[in-house]
Amino acid sequence: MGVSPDQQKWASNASPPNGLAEDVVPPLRRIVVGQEVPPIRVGDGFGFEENGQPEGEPAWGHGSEPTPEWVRESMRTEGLSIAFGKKEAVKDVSLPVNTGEVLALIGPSGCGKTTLLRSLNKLVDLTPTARRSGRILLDGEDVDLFDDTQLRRRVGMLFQQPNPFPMNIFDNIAYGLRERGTKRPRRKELEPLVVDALERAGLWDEVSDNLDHPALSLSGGQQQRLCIAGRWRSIPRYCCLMSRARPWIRSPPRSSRKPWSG
Amino acid sequence: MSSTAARRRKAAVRQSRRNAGPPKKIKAKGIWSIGDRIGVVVAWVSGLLLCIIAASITLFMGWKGIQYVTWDVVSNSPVASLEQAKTGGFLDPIIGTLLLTILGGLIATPVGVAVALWLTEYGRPSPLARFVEAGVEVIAGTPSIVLAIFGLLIYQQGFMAPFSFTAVGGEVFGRSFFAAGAAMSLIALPFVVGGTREGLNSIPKHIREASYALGKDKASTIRRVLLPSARRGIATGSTLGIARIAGDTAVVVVLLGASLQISPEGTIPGLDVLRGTGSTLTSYVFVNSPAGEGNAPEKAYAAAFVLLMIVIVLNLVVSRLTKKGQHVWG
Amino acid sequence: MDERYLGVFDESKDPSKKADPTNQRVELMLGALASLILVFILGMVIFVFLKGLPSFTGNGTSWFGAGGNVDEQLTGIFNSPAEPADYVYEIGAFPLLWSTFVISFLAVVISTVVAVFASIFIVEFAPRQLEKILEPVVKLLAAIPSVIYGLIGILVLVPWISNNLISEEMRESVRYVIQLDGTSILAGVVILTVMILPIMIAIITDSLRQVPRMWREGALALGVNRYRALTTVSLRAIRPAIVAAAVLASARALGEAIMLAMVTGSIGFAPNPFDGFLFFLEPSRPLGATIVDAKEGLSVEPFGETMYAFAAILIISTAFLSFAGWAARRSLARYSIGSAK
Repeated sequence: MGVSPDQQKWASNASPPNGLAEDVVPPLRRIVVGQEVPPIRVGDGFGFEENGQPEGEPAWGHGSEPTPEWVRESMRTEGLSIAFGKKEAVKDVSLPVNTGEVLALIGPSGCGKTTLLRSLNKLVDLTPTARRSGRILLDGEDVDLFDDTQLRRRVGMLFQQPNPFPMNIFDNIAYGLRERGTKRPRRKELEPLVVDALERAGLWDEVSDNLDHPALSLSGGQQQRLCIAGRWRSIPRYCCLMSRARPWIRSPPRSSRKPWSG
Repeated sequence: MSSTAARRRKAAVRQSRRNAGPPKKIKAKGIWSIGDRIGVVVAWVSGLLLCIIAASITLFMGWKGIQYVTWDVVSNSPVASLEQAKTGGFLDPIIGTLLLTILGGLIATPVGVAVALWLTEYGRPSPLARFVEAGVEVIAGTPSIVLAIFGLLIYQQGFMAPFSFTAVGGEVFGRSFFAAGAAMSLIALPFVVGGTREGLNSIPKHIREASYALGKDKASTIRRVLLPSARRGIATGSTLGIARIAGDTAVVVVLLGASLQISPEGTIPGLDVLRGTGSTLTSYVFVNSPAGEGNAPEKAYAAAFVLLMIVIVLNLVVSRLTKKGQHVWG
Repeated sequence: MDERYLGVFDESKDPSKKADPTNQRVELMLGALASLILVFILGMVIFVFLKGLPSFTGNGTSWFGAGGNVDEQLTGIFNSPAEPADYVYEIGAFPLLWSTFVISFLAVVISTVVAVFASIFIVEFAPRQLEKILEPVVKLLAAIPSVIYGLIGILVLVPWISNNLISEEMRESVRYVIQLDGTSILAGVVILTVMILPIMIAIITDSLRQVPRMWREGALALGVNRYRALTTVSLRAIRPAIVAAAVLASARALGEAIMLAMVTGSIGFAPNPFDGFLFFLEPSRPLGATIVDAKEGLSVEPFGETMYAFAAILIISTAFLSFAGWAARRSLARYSIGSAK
């Protein structure tokens, strides 16, 4: 079979990859980047309560609670600087990234948040003019020691704009599984995995009638959930989500609750 | 773990890292399948093959050119002779090439610009526009030998006699610079149309709207605003078309007659050359190769080198035209 | 103040839509000129067909057949008596058609494969310096006149084939039929491939570079290696462009007359694929080259008409190719770049 034993394990109803149970909500650590960010006012319509916390989400941590024991450091940058030609995008950043936690980087546009995230899975290296200095560590090992592709299998990324491939829905989700093994698994073997992923992303009900439709014919929100499903099935250990400064609109926690608890 | 112990441990790790030398890259498993590896190898081989082909053609022609191109050969007219040493140079063919490219370009450019203008600015009714587009495509795809014998068909008709000459038996010869030039303009036409359309399409809508808002009507907008702005596209298209004309042999061989030297016809100066026959660098190379009467490979190489230089220069002009950066639409 | 300067831009007052005589005249003139092109092409196709018709009617379906020696038949046509009623039209053009098909088909297939892999190399694996040099070089190769390719072919490749690939036994074995002197299908295919390669590479690399970045990054971010990401996403997305490039190259290959006339030999001979390797070393002559070789005799009636019949075949095939390419592009566009917009 072309599906590795690891993948098989996660295909069953076993606990999600990093061991958290499904209903546990990971703490949210917020880091504000760059200059002074004006405080958000109540009544902006983004669902904030009086004390500045997101509406209806009392379980999200706000920094003063003790860190739960399952949170441990997995990635870290040390003195990371990234420049594109002459322009410095990220300067001397040392940031620990922990498993079991949701890290939010908040800051004005253009302050380097996206660049920082993209450097974590070495997408930044694709730009010819990019120069990176400083270290990035994954599980204590320098990321430059890894093959790029190997790194990206452990650190996944979801993009701001949904970017499904120009294929049908089934192929989009199966893509990660097909193209990573040395053997191509057959469609029958992939079907249950794809269906499971669609269910977890909350998309199954909407597309179950025809998985052969082009993915590009879905609406924006559906496309983004499709991408989530695809990433889920490819099981990266860590996932970077790039979203705009108002994540609540892009991926409302309520409907995508399940994936985020992984 | 206390923080001092943690710090000491980190220092030890750092120390051991320094002692061990540069860290080895962790071997990646299961990322490249056999098929992938083969594919990458084939890609590299293809790429290098491309480089080798390009390099060898360039070096070979360059070498032959240095060997055989002399001032004599470029400045003398060809002479029919059985002896190699006395066959003269290829001045007439050079003039022939220049004549044909200018003639072809002069005909193709206005026609091409007009067609492109109609397609982009008017284009009604739209089925007609689509047919015209398809028509230009068909011309672009037609082999030049077919265009050549079609040209022959037309120019041998009686009413086309003024464009070439009439033989004693009343038969219209049908081969002349006029005939070849007209056929060549067909070859250049699709390039001019394409280049002009690109030039016109890259003009943003607000320029046109600004012109109409100032009260100019469509015709003068085209004349005064759009065409000058599309200059670069028109120049690019024309130059590409001219480069293609310079390199074409089939039309020349069929429609220009087979005289080595330029043989004018008739009495009006200037026009007589155009009515007459001659040769170009391309037909000269063809005739002097073993495929033609061919016992002058050195002359053939020399002429080929000069032809190549002309084509390279024309293409350099095109790339400078396209590279100069986009016009700033304030 | 003129009301055109004030207020909302009123459509009914749009000067460009004014039923102004000047505007109408200009539009009519330009439209007429453009339609002239159409008329011209139709005229060309019809004329060539009409001129070549006697050759078809004089032979019926055996026009496409393989009876007899084509060169002898052509000479016979050329020498036919002066009376129109006595014109000889007999020809079995199969050897020429076969030659045209084999050479073009092989060249396009080989060229497509090499072009795809070379494009993969240029876009993904080539060192930056090399990439920068290769771009203008490819454009230059595409611009080299065909007669120069023919010259190099006939002065370099053909003697090499004759000296190194053709043995005495081979020559002996076909001595009573043809002469093996190096002008051959092999020479034609090799040089034709080199001729159409740059065009295809230029089209494919252009299209590869236009594939939206996010698809490529999406594939890479999933942990797919560079080669796989390129082939499964980008190449798949530009399938219409590859088809278009192949069609363009085919049309070019079919129409190539001068280079092939110099390099494949002047004998209207149909090489036998069952001859094995010898098949590639035998001379032949495709349609375009035949017309070039016959250029002087075009005014002799039946001979000229036969040539126009050949030209008619060429026109049909190139037109058919264009249509096939267009249809293929339409059907593939569903899953490709077009639908992303």
